[in-house]
Amino acid sequence: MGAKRVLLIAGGTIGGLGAVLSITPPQFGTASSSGLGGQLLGGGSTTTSSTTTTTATTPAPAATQAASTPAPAATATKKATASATTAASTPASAKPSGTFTGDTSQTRFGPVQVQITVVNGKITAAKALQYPNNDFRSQQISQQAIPYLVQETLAANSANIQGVGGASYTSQGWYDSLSSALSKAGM
Amino acid sequence: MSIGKRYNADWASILLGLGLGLTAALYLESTHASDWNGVYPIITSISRICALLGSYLALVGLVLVSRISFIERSIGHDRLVIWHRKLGPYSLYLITFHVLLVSIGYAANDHAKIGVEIWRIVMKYPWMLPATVAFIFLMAAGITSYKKARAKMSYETWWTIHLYTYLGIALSFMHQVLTGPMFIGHPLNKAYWTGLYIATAAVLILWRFLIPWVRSLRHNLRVEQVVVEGPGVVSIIMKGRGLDRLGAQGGQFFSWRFIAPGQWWISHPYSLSAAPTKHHMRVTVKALGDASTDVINLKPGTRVFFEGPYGTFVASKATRGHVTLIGGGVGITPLRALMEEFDPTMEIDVIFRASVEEDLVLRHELDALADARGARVHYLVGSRRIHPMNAKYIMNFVPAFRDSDVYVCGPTPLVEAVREAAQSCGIPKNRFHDEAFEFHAV
Repeated sequence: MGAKRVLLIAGGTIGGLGAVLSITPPQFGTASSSGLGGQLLGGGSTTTSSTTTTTATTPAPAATQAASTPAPAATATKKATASATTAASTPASAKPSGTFTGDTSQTRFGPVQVQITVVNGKITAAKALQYPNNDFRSQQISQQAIPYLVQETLAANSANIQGVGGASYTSQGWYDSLSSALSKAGM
Repeated sequence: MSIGKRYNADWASILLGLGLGLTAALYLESTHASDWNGVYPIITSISRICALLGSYLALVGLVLVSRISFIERSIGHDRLVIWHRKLGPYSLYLITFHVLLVSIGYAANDHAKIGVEIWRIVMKYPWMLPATVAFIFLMAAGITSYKKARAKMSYETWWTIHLYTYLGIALSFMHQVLTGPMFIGHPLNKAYWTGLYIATAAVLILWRFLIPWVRSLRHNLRVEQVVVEGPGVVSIIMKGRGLDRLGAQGGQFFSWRFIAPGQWWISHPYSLSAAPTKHHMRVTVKALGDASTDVINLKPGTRVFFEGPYGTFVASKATRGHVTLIGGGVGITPLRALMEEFDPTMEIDVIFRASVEEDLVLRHELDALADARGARVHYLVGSRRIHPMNAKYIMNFVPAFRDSDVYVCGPTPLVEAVREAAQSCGIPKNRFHDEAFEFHAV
């Protein structure tokens, strides 16, 4: 193979690569804007305090998602209102109770939607109404990760969870949906 | 090579590069930062890049030997086969890396033992069992194509194992689009990748099946006669119509498929043993493999499907006024055909090596041709020790060896010995023309 032909092959490669990347630039960094404690897959040791900071500085994603999925949000609001009424009728305690469904969070591998049960401001149960299960690998990862995410949620009684290593997308989706459920509960 | 032909090869190169670029873009489009933020995600990501590139190269490898007529004409069948052979191992290395790395990456991600993880991947993930079978097929083809392994088996065995690579590449497709994160939720990526496989399949069906069939039927090639030439050596004389339009020359070979019980499923590369005429072609065959033994029993009238002509072992490659043709055993056959093709002014020396007298096949034809045009034929019968094919020994018979064009055909050791002899005399590469038996394959 002559040097010229190598150049032609290289030219074709760069041309094809350049054309595609200029039409649709890669979404390389989008998934990393996370409320979770950083290095999930690397077995990160980020502390809860730093997580809180990150959450405070990036309130946008949850809001955007709520706006983009109006239908479930409306349902959730109705439920939230109902439970809020219940809460109001018992003035002795200002702490919320009821079942709250978070907004659906779209991840790279599929949607995540969290439902929590709150009794007097304490999360007593959490479950995934939706999780990535389009392909077998996602199913497997979700099934392994969700029990841990539930545990973390109950333990933290907030959205300050670490997430599960090896399931970064599900963890991120869980965090987003959980945050919206908590805000509906007024927590 | 004409301007038009070079143009074709250039476009083929650009297309090859374009595909590589699109494949790389496909990956970059679908990867995320989280694929690269730890040791194990990086291992998994690298495994996917290996898979993409390895699969792309496997497809290119198929296209290289798909007999696309304009590429064959512009680059040459022999060079395409050489590229196919050079590319093949890289494709297999990449796919092997993919298998190893994805097992490690997934096992670490799932905190599972590697054996457990592999078992789970193979048994539970969609289309992973076929993909595993595909990997075994590809590896088998790779290992049996390794020089030392290839030398130990018959052509039929090697060919049959190699045939399974088609099945392997087809079987591996579904696990890619169903489990690869570059395809899940990326319809454009999936469409491009599927298109690549469909295009490859279409090229293969058209050029390796439909076109050869149509040509074979049109020229209506059939066995006319089978003649025994020596122990285990037969000539097959075939009759057809308009064979001159094939543009075949003495020294070239075709891939032949005899439509007879037990033989129709395999094709053999045999050189023409006489210059082709308008109505006849002839090959002379030694029973080298299992099925080539059966050609003795071919009945007149048996239909013959062919692909070709192939090869650049032709008279027009000679640059000097003198040629030395060196043949070993049945390797004399293309040289016998070549003798008819040289210009009458060409001075010809033929050296015919054989271990026993009976192996000097087509001897009467060589003598007759030599008489008719004043060529010299030197018969060297006996072991390699008696007749060492070095420059000094060759020059005993052909004093003008160093000023001639050298054509050699025979077993690899003979071809290599003569190559060394030619090099030691300072004969440049463009005056050395070789055709090793094993070279015809693929």
